[in-house]
Order: sequence, then structure tokens, then C-alpha cells
Amino acid sequence: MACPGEAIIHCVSLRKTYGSVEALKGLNLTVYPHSIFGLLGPNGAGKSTTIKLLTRQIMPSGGQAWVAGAPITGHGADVRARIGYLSEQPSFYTWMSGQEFLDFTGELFGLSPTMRRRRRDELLELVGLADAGKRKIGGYSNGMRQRLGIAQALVNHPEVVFLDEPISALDPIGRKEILELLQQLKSETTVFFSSHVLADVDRICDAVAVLNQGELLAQASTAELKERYARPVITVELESDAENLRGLLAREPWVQHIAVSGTRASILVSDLAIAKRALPACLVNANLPLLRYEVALPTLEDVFIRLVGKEPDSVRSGAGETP
Amino acid sequence: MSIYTFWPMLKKELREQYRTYRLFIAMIVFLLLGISAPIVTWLTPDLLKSLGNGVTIILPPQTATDALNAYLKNMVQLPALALILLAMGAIADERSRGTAVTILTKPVPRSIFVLAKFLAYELTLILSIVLAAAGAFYYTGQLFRPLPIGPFLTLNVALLAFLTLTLALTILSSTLVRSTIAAGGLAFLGFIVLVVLPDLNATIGQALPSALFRTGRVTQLLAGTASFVDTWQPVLIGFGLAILLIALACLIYRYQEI
Repeated sequence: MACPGEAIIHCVSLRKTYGSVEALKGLNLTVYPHSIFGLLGPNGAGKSTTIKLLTRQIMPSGGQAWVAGAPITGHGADVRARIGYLSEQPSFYTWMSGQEFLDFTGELFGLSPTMRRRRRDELLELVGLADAGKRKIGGYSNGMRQRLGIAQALVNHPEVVFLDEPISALDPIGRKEILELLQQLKSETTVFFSSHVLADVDRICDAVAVLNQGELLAQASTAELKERYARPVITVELESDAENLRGLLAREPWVQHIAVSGTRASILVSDLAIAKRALPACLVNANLPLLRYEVALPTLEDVFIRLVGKEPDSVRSGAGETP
Repeated sequence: MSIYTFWPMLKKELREQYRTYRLFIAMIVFLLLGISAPIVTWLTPDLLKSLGNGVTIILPPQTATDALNAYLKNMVQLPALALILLAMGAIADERSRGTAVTILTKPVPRSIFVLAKFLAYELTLILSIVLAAAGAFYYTGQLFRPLPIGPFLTLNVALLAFLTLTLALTILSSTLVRSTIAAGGLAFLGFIVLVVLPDLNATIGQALPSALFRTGRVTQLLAGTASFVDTWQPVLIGFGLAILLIALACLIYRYQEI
């Protein structure tokens, strides 16, 4: 059995167990070249396990996967020569400078000295560390280490680059720059990254997979997922208490749920087209003066909540705010 | 298998020994222990006289052989402990800090990762023993009489075999556990077994390199009466066991999850 022609990553019933704990329960996943693929899920969903399996850090308990055409359990062609990887908390030899580390990485990929120097300077420039290249890594901030981590993952012009939570340690400006960089990379490689910052994933990913407790809940393009799972919400703000809306809209077939907070109400609707016509009419007929009326666009966060049944960690901790 | 990664890995390990001062620490510890043996042996009668408080202690005159025995005793214990302290984090520390993941997700075979570390420490060990031996040889010659070069070199090769075995034990321990401290503890336990075992079992005692450091065997070596097999067999067994332990470390690390 081989990797389907077009796919750059293909997992078939990929499993990983630790004793009695099933960290990954038969994952089936397909990722296509030159895309940005986001792996979403709450803590413990199996995101890091998936990346560790695909980068050969751990061996699967069952199933198979192919990365850039090579099976992850094979002893022949080593897929590691064709991938790049950045761990969740990247670690480096602190006694080396950024330049030295990239040079050393180039040597491990068999690049010639000239190629290594050129690639090293190119990458330091790309990730914004050109001025800090000669400094010891021990003196780098977390953000600088994350950038160096991205640079070292790109040294070999990888066919796929795996990034485990690449933006979590960055400040808002750093996050924006790295997201822009990932978008640029799309033309030369496939970016496969895990994140719990949904707004960022929403902004740059072509396709996503949502994992929960080791199970794949959904995989599709972001647009398709939103269409499929995120139900539209209409938010209204009244002059008076919005509690009156509950009784008013309770029998309407297009209303699925109403959440009221003071003078504001969020109405989850099943059919947006009907709701957009019917709701204003209902408000006028009931003589409820309207201050604000807004149709909220579905976000990946809505999809996530719908699929996983809870808010993402980033939303709970407030880390999901985008610049 | 990406054999070409061996050279960059070894270069990196050697640079690490140099930049993190491990090389200098090992060289200074070994050199001090090497030169202190003949100096302390030479000073012993005077030291005992000054500490005697009127009691007369009669010592036979100290000789170059006494200095050599003191050197061997020095070089078996403290350098081995220094070696354990220096190398106990070689693999365990890289795993716990996460640098092993950064390297092993590149086309670096795990056996090369282990071998490069072992060889770098072995080179540091060789350099340090050469320094210690040169210091001991020089001061013994200055304070007593020059030692015969052949037996002295043989004993230093036996020392290298013994310390190489300790190093291999440390690298294996570092492969087995994630914690540097636990690796050090495990290696220390192994070292104790290595030191105590010859006293418990004479056959094993004769087979290990430490057999050559017994006073009687040193005298035989200096007199040129030691047999070739009795001299070189323990040395070869020491190096052979070290190779086996490193092969075992490579095998275990190959199947470990990082």
C-alpha cells in the first residue's frame, strides 16, 4: 500500500497507545501539497502525538502513514531528510550562536559549506534574526528561539514542515510576522501545524482537522467546516430587557437557541435567510425598539465549540486574542 | 543510513566539550592527580615526621615504585568519579531538555548520536590521561628515578581501559533514564560494582583491567616478569566490555521514544 499520488501526508487508521491509554484512535487524514494545514483540538486531543508519529519521534501502535511518499515506519528512504520540524518548546545548544546552529543543521542535511552559509544568512534574514545571528542562543528570548526554531526547520527546503504550536510563545507582533511568513512558505512547501489559537488558524489555514480525545472529529477546508458546522447567530440589542424575546421567539421554527444577557440577545438560527426576514418583522410587531442588529459571521471557534463541545483553551485563557 | 552525519555530530560534541569547559575540567583534574602522586609520595616521610608529635615513625625510603602505585590509586578513583559527573547528562540531559528531539528529527541515526558522544568523551579522556601520565612521569623522574617507559605506558593503557569502561557504563546509564541525576546514580552504582567485584571473585578480578593496578602486578611489570597474556588480556577485556556496553546503549536508544 502506498501513499496516494497527490497527497503529501496520508494517515490510515494511525493509532498510538500508552499502556491502557489510547492517545490516537485510528486517525485517517489526508493533506495535499502546498497547503497550510491546521491541526486543532483541546489539550490532550492527540495533536502532538500525531506530529511526533509523523516525524518519527515515536512509533505507531497500529495503522500506517506516509509523509512525502515515504512510510513513517520504513527503514529505507529516511523521510527525515525531506521534512522540517519545530517542537512545542524548541531547545537548542545554548553555547552556540544562531548562525552556528543553522550551519550545524545544514551539515546534518549534507549541505556544502557554501550552500550552508547562503541558506543560514537567508533564513536568519527571513525570520528577523539577522542582527542576532552571532549572539549566543543562551541570550535569546523565547520569541527569538521560536524564530530560530522555524529557521532550522527550513534549512533543507523541506517538502513538509511540521510546526507544533509555533506561535504560542510569541507576542502579538511576532505572531503576526510568523503567520505572514507561514503564508509565504506555502509556495515552496506544505505547512502542517498544530495550534489552539483558533483565530490564527482561521486566518491562514486552507484546511483543518479537529481532534478530541485522540479521535478525528472533522477534516475539511476551513470554509467547508464553517458552512457545515458553524450555525449563524444574530445578535440584537434592545432598549428594554431582552428577556421578552424568549417568549416572543420560542415558537419560531428557525430559532434554535436564545442566549440573553441584559438588553442583549444572541439568537442561534437554523436558516439564516428566513431569520433575516422574520426577526425584524417580529421585533416591529412586538413593538420592541432596536438599538443594534448584527449577523455574526461563523468562525472556526464556533465550529470548534460545536464539535468539541467546549471552548478552546485559548478562549478560556484569553490567549486567543489576535492583534 | 546517513553515515555522513557522524563527522558533524562528532565535531559538535568536541566543540561542546571545549565551550562548556568539560575538556579543561577533565584535563586539570587528571593533571593535578597525576603530578600530586609523586610529590605527595616524596613528601610523605617529612609530613609524617611533622605530624608525629614526638613519636618516631620509621618508614622505608620512598621509591619510584611507591610513586607509581600512588599514581595508579589516584587515577582509579577520583578521575572515574569526575568522568561520571561530566558524562552522566550526555544523553539524559539532551532528552530532558529537548535538544535530542531537535537533532533526531533530522536524518541523524540514533546510534551515531550515541557514538559521537562516547567518542568525544573518550578523546577528552585520552588527552587527560596523557597529561596526567606526562606529569606523573616527569615528577617521578625528578624526585626519584625515571620510570621504565614500557611498563609505565602499559599501565596507562590499562588505566585508559578501566576508565573507558566507566565511561561506557555512564553513557549506557544516561541512555536508560531521563534524569541526569538518576543516570549519575546508576553509573556510580555500576562503578562500585566494577571496583568491588574483583575482591569478591578472583577470576573476575584477574579479568578486569584493575587487576594490573595491584602492587604485586605492578612490581612484576616493572621487573619485566609479568606474562604477556596476564598483562594484555584484562586490557582487551576492558575495552571489549566498553564496546559491548556502547553497542547496548545504541540498541536501547534506537527503540526509545524521544
